[in-house]
Amino acid sequence: MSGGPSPALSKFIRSIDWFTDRTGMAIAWLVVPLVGAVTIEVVSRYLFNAPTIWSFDLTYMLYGALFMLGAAFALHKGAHIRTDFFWEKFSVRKKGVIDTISYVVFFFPSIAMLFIISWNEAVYALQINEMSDQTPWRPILWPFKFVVPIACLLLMIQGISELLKSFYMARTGVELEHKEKIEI
Amino acid sequence: MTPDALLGLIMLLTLLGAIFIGVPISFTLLFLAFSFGYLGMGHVVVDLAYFQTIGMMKEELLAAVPLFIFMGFLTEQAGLMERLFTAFRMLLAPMRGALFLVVILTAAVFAMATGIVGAAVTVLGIMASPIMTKANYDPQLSAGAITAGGTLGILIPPSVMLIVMGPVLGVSVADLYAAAFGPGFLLAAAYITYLLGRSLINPKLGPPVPVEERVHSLGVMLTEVVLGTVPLLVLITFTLGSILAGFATPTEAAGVGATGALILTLLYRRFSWASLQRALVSTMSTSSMVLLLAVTSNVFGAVFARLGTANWITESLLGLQLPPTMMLIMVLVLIFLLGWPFEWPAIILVFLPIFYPVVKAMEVDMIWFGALVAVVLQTAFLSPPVAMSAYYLKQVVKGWSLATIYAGMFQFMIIQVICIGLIVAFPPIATWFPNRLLEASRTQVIPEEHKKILEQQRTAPSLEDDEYSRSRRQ
Amino acid sequence: APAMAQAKVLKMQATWPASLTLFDNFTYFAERVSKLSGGTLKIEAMPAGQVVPAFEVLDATHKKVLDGAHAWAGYWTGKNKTAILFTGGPGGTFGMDYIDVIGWMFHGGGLELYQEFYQKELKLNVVVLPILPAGPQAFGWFKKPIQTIEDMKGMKCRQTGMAGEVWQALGFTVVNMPGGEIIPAAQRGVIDCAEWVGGIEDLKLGFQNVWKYHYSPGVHENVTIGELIINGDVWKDLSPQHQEIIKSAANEAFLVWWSKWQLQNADALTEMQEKHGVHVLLTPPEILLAFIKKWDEIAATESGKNPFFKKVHESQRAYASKVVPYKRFYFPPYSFMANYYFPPKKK
Ligand code: NA
Ligand code: NA
Repeated sequence: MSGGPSPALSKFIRSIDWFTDRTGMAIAWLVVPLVGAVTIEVVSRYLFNAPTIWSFDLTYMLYGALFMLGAAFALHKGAHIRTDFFWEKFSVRKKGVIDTISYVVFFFPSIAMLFIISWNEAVYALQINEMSDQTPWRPILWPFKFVVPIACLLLMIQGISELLKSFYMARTGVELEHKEKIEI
Repeated sequence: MTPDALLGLIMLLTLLGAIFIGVPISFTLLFLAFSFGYLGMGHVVVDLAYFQTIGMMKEELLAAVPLFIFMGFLTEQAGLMERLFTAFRMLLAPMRGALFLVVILTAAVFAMATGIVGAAVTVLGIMASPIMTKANYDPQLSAGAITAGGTLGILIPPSVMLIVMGPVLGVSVADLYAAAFGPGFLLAAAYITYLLGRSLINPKLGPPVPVEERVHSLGVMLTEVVLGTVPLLVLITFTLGSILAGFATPTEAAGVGATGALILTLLYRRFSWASLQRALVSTMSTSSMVLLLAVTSNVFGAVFARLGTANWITESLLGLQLPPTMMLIMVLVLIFLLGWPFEWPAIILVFLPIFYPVVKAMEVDMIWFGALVAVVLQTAFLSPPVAMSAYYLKQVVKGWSLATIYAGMFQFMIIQVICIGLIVAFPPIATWFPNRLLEASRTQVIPEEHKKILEQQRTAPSLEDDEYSRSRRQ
Repeated sequence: APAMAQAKVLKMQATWPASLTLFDNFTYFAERVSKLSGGTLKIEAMPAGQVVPAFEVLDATHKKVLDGAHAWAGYWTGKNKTAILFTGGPGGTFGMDYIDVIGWMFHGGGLELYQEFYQKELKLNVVVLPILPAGPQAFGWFKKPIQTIEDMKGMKCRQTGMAGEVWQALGFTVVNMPGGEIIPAAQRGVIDCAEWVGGIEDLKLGFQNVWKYHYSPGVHENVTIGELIINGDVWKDLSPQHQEIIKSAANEAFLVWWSKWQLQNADALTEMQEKHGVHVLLTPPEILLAFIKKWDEIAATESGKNPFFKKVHESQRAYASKVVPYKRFYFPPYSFMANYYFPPKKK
């Protein structure tokens, strides 16, 4: 094979990546209300001696939603850490084979099962109208519980693109996209 | 050993194999937990994974992770580190090894404003390495100074690593923060001593800044020093000060710090929507990576525990009957060795819980132990050939070979080992500050006004049944 | 050894770490089950977080991730506020003390309502038994002495659950934070007061090192009862004899642990004062009264919207209306004899 993937495949991969890019960039804005909620709490508590009733719940909900919903974007950017003890020395083809196997065997079955279970839990929370019991504010909990199945869904969507890229790498020995290590 | 415990042991060995090959750790953990968990406990293992996920999502304390990361990215964008570097350089120019000192001081101060490693190594690499090369500084020592200084970011608070470690060790993050200052400053001092010592003995390693490059106007120097240090110091005081002096929990301090950093980017006119979006996206990716790994390793750990393997390991280790210090050193050595192939999140979240019961059973001070683990893991950032700092530096300084960088880092690893030995031998290096904070609140004096109220309350009628109380007083 | 090979093992998890005395109740229960069954039934008592995070144990038991759990119904008020009533509820609920609330459970239809609550209202496949009498709990720890309800309004207090809701409704500054952060937050002034448990547990957490004013009693958890939850299928699979062993061991744990705990708390109270210079003070009655009144309002509002809450609350009221007046007549007041033999020291 030469000349890159077929136009249809290439377009399919690019549209998934585009989708994850857009949703990811939107989800990243959750950091702003997160910073806001915490700051408002501290300011109103110390300057006005009037802490908010909602900050605590909002803080963990925004943080939880941020890292879960952001997982698909992180997958796209290759942010999920792997040990590069041997990895860096592997050929592109070998990397492709390992990744293809790990997506088919490890990734999809695990995330799909988690999706089913978390969907049921979120529906149950909706049915009993579950509320948070961490503070007297008691916001409804089911939107937060739906974050888990949605995160799984986003991960699986991006997973398809990653699987296709890995499969292409395994077949042709050509890297479709290079992922840089991110900082920690 | 039960069959289930054996199953867990096989799971752990499979994990080691899979991670070594280079499969992304999070998904490997999840898959192995599911498949081995299924053999040991049936399909409910998926429910277990869900409960671990939602439980982690409700941990308000961990909200400090994205907040401190965001603050770090913003501070980097505001160019605060460059200002600080320039200021220190002007100030210290006439000294031998001045640039070494500048690098370590900048890194130590910047470590108090950021919770991760990458930023410091990258920025110092970009700024310091051309100047050091031009000034004929020894490349090995220079690379060593930048990488070692940069890793202080993960040790000196705020530290994303300590936030993740607190709940694992069952100690407060605020206490861990207090305990990390001593070792952090000890290391910075040890680096400086080593670098300046070497430059004094052999001036070729680190000559003073050439006279023509020095700033001679006192006014210029003062302005630059004030502008370069004050804003960052204010930000640090805001965030760390608010935790230590009593305004905020770690999460709240992180939020306030992020707001402060955002204000600074505005004041320095470094704010742009594009760069904000970049900071937001980087924050999300990094947090997602660390926290998703936290979730999946909790799932793995729960299966490991439910299979009974964790207990078996603890009992076997305790069965060795080693004296506590030996056991502690053995655990630290193991963590250090694991630090070679693994990143710190994997070590804290996957392996530390396995050692935890052993250390707990020896009744070791967990805050001291946490500080030791933190230094050991910081050392892992410096241990070639698998050391993140080396990669960060190599990415921005093409002129230094990996061999040069490794040779420099190796010297600093020796310093690390000496300092770890010192902290083991003299626990107060870590525990003095948290204990001092506790002592301060313990030795409070009762104000006069309180004494009066106390007196009144002692004689006030109580909740006793009225009739009987009255009969008693007659 | 052959008997060991056949032993049935139930994996259960608590909502507390192994370091708390509350966990001793769990291990005592496990030990009794093992001995009473001649080793044919074993309970593996695991601390919080070992299999699932603390507050997921109810759902985890329902899903059979755990065979059972050692918990406190007050943690489930997010699912349905009726849960708080099965702990004994704020104010002991209509003045009942521990033995009255246990009486309501065993002889007043309470235990049936408790099962109905989980199985029908929350649709969870679990069976529940009372096991852990973790009270009465102290009013809390304060940075400075308090005299009136107004004194408390300017203070930031760590409070949780339904009690937090009552304080919030009274206009107080309620702050929530993870358990491990309470002492450092107190030390550094983030909070000015906190409610935890009282006695030995407070001493273990280290409040005496930070604050010197310890107030008791409280009426938010003067009766507070922890629960043993068991998965419904696991329960049905047990032999009738094993079921009876579990019931008896739970009741025994309730009594034996509680009496020991009171002794531990008595020693802790002495230690607080003599070793740590803590001022142990009586909560001003005005504050307790305000709490009860506000709780009654909240309970009335909830009864208006939640028929099951109303049903349980009414059942408790009916039972209390019999035993509370009876006890007032037959039981000499505790303070009467206490004052006779151990009059409070006037310093
Ligand atoms: Na830092
Ligand atoms: Na309590």
